[in-house]
Amino acid sequence: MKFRRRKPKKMEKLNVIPILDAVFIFIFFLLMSAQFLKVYEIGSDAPAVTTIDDKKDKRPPLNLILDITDEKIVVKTGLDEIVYKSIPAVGKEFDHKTLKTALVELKKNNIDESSIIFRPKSKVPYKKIVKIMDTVRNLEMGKVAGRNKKGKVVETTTLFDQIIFETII
Amino acid sequence: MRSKKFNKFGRNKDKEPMEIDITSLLDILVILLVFLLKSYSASELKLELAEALTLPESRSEALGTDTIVVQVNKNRKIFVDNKEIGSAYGGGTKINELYDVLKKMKEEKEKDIKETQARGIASNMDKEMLKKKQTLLTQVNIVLDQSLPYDVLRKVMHTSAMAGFPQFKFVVQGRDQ
Repeated sequence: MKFRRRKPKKMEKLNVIPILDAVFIFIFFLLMSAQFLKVYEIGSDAPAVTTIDDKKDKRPPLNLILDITDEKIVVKTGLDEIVYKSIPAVGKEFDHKTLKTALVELKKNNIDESSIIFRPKSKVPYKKIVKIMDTVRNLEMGKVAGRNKKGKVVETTTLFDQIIFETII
Repeated sequence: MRSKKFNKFGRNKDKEPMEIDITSLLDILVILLVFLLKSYSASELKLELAEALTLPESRSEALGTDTIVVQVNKNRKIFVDNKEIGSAYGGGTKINELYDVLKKMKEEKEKDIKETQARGIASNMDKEMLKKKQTLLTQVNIVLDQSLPYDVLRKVMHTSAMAGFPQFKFVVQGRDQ
């Protein structure tokens, strides 16, 4: 028997031109919308006057205040502004770790509260204020658990994310 | 004498048309695509930073909103929507130049909303647009140099609140950069 060897078929090339066209268009679109500086925002509201309904909640409000100077952060609570903790700066930086620990403790006992009042001195740099804002807003790891006003156990990763600057109006 | 293999243009008839190998080009494009996809931002806010302005770093991940942008650079020059309007020097709690500009912008925004309402809301898109305009009516983006003291920030916030923008959005830089 005689075998006839098949003539080797010529490999067909894949037509990549349409893909190339699509990639090109996509690149132009992305180049137009690219933002090389990644910007985000931190929200804050001007203080507003509201009426507190006494019938709904008999517990005194937390009224958490941070007095910020170049040397220390003083954490105050309550309507009488009782000093909860005074956190001195370590070198040129604030002690964010101690501040966070103090805020976590406060959050555990006041899980429904989310407001914090900032009272910085005039010369405190904006950079430091932003860093404090980061510390007071969220937990980086883990959760805080506490009982809410209805007595239910609530877990959260947020500390005090409603930042109000007291001295603006 | 010219060989028969060649036509009058001097091209070889037997040869197949030359193909350019675009594989390497495709590789480059794919790399570029990945890089651009990584730097793509879904944020509405397209910020053009003023000169001599360094943003503070933050861990915030909230995307910016497209509303009025007030920038104050290291030299305390104030820019509203990239237009220089004055400086934040001097005493007092209010910056008059900034107040005038913001007040005017607020009036324009209110007028625009009234006109949209007067035209009538035809579709859901109009409804959403109007809702968004109303939400942004009281918001202002504050872009401050990181070295400036709180005194400047207080003045900017006070002036903005007085002009009808009591909701402040501090624009910061992502920490991963």
